[in-house]
Amino acid sequence: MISLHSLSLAIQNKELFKNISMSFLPSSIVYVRGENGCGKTSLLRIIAAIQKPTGGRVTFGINSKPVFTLNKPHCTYIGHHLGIKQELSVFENIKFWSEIFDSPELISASITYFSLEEILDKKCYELSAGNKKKVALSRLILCPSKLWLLDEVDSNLDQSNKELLLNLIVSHANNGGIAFIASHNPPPIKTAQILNLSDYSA
Amino acid sequence: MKTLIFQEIIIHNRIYNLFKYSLMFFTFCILSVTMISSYENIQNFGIIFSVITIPLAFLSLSSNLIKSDIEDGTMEILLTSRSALQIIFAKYISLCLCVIFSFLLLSPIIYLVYDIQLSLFAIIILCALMLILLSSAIITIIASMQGYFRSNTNFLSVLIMPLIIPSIILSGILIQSPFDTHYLFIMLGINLVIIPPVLYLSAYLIDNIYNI
Repeated sequence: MISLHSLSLAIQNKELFKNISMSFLPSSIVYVRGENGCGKTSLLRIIAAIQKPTGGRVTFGINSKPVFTLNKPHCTYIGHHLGIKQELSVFENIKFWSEIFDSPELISASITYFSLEEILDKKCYELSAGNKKKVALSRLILCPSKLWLLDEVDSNLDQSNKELLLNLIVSHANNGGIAFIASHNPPPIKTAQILNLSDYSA
Repeated sequence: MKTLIFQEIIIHNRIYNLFKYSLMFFTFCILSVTMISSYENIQNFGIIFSVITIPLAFLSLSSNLIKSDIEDGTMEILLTSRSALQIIFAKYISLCLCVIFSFLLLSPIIYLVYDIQLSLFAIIILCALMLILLSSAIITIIASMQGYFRSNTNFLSVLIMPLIIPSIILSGILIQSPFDTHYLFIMLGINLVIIPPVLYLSAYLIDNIYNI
């Protein structure tokens, strides 16, 4: 279970959101919505423990420990910037992240799921935006964490790859995982919960 | 940690050609000193110059070290899986290893070209190692500041670079009088005083990079 306790964030004296208090059970899919600049990315970073809130805290896991005290990695984060080295090949990028997450046995699964076989030897700067996104998304399979934080991940993807991604998110939730998805699009999953940050703006 | 260091070494060499760059830089420095020095001065001046150019080799590296990771999103993901201290140590150690390796490859050339005694050669290697360790730490903190403050950070490197000057002066003195080995211990002391806080400060900046 993940809980947000009176979570507030202000950047340069501008309050983005305040007093968000809610809990999400395992198997939750949460769509974080709101207009540009309302703090969607910051909220995901706070949950990922790479940004500190101005007030409140986030707890995660059976013992409800604050995320800043959890052993890393407690989540899989895919942000606006994809975290791939353009000058390295697709395989080198995937191999590096598999070693970081200590899951080399999942390399072939991630390659097969997103159909990356034919572009494995290509440098990432040669790829289209959609293919780069697929390389970044392969981290979802490589990192065996229960918490996924996805920041506008379906942009640049074609319909079939969007469905692949949705299937992956749904199967992750079915296995007890939690996914936070920041998006401007209406949620395609009917059972998804919506956290509208505009409701918590100052 | 080992994975991070190995990846950083790959990035330094495959993307930024650090090893080739530093090897070429040192070679160029040695050759140019040989060309501009008189026959009488070439041994002393050449040896000193080949060591004190080490910090200069680092000057252009700071922008590649951390800012590129922030811009391509790698830093965000690394911070979710490793502590800031581990990331900084990996970057520091990989930077040191690349430059030490290229300097060691070049050291036989220094030994042969300047026709020096083995004891002096050992002193040169030790001075170079100390300078590389210190310069790498200084470049790591400059790179962290560039990542943290994002803009108008060039003046920070001007403020921090003088931390290397005492070690450069001591290297020069030590090479000119190689039997005064106590200078070596002073250099070691300077390294021990500067490197750990600089690395911890870098880690602090990286840890708070998204809090600004």
